[in-house]
Amino acid sequence: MSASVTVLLVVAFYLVIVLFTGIRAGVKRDKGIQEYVAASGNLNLFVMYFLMGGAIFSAFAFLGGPGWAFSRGAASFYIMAYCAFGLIPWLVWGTKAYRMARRYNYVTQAELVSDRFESKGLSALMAVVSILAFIQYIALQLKGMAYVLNVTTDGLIPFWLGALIAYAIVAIYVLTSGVRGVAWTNVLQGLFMLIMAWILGLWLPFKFHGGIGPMFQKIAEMKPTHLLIGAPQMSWTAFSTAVLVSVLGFTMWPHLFMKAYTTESEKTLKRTITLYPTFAIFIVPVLFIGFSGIGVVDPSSLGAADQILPTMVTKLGLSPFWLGVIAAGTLAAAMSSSDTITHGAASVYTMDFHKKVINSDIGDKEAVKVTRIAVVVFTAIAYYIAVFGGQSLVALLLGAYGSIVQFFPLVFATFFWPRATKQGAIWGLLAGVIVNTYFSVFTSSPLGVHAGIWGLIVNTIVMVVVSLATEPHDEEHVNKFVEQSRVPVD
Amino acid sequence: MDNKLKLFSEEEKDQNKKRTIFWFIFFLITFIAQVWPGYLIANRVYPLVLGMPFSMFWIALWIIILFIGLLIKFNQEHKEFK
Repeated sequence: MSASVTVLLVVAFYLVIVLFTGIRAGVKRDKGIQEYVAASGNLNLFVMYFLMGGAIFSAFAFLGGPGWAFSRGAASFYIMAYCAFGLIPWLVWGTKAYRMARRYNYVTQAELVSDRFESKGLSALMAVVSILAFIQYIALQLKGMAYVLNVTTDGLIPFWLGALIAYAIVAIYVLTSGVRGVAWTNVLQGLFMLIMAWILGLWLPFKFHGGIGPMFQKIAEMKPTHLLIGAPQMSWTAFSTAVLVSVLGFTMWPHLFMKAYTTESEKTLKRTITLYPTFAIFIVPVLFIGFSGIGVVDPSSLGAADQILPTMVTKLGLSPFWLGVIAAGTLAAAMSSSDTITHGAASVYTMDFHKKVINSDIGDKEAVKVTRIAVVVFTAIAYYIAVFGGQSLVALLLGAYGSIVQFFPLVFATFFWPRATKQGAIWGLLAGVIVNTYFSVFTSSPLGVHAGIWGLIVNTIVMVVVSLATEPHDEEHVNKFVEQSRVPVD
Repeated sequence: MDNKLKLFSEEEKDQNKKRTIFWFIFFLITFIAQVWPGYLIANRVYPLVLGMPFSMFWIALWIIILFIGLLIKFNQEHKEFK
């Protein structure tokens, strides 16, 4: 049996296990939208840890990270920094969102914000911005999955087919089990990835360079600037603002923000945040994988730097069985993010757009059906971008962050600034998104500062100016959000 | 309605306010250490620590500091970490 076919069979077997885990999680559970979107709010620490960690265990970290380590050296350290920091703002937003949701039954981020600003238009706008960013994020994961399947089967699975297969699996268990399926498959895949990251991250440097220290010494000799921040790797401004926009934006992602609603208690939420830096440490061996390719793989032989991990792994001369296992592990990374994002995107569409703007009387079962259709449509669009778009995985994500971070002033104002008005919120958000898009897509961002930061500055100014120029909301209503979010429910 | 930011509630105890400000400063310091200008002092390859270039080790170090800080904070708030 050819090596590629063996790899494929191992991967197929793994995918079946994942599928089984995902579907089984949904069995015997209530079929309504509260369960589908928020697991009825009863996930424990073990599951929450991996559910949130799945956001980091993604194609971005596993493929994009080493891709940057290989091609841009120290620039990849920004990933370590922001992964550790990412949930810190959640100490504030997460606890407040949780408390308000327990009192008022929100299941999405936009529900909370649009309730505070008393605006369905804002909800729809947030939904549109979120979905566009989500689609980029999904495309990134699909690309990653396709790379893995393509490289480890030595081209047997063409790029377009690899993306399709892995995605079909995710779509199936998201469709059947909602967020509970997502959570349990994340546990499975998270454990798998943790183990793989450490094994490969330590093995590859030793095999190809005689150790981690010797590997870095060789790199320092070949190209001294590779391990330092600053031009040509990444300017100080670009690096610092990339970390800043990622830290501010991490918890603004609707799918992460709304996980505050799935936790069983505030204490579990805080424990999850406390443990989160342990994921950042996991990035260390993952980056080693990328660095180990320097001097071993010729950059021009790669289609994209993001293929460095599967390429290095094929160079290890492992039996096809083990190659299959590793391919499965990398797929695990991409899948465990795709599922959360897909589920999040579909939920946002149903709750924040469809219910507000198209049909507000939609019944519970109908809502779940609409969500499922959204799952299929969004993944189709993302698939198209993944197969036909050309950017690197990290570039795709940093671009999406710039849009998402525009929610920051809205969330801040919800909990800390009663004078903010709905017009301020809407115009601020629009301004921020336009500025971010302009500096990402049409021209390069001034001073090397991340486009999202410019957006954020304009966003905040517009929000403040327009709010002060318009009628304040009912004082009791807005103070409800400021005051009740300070009071724990459990 | 006034135009002010409401960062703390009026009845918030002074001790709690001080704690919040302390932690905010702690997180700010750990953040600045990992970007410009804090990171400037660590932007070098040598010495290698645990095989890693110093520039990489520095970030890992601050991650650990952050983690320890978070553990202390959690303990402070919940009196036992289970």
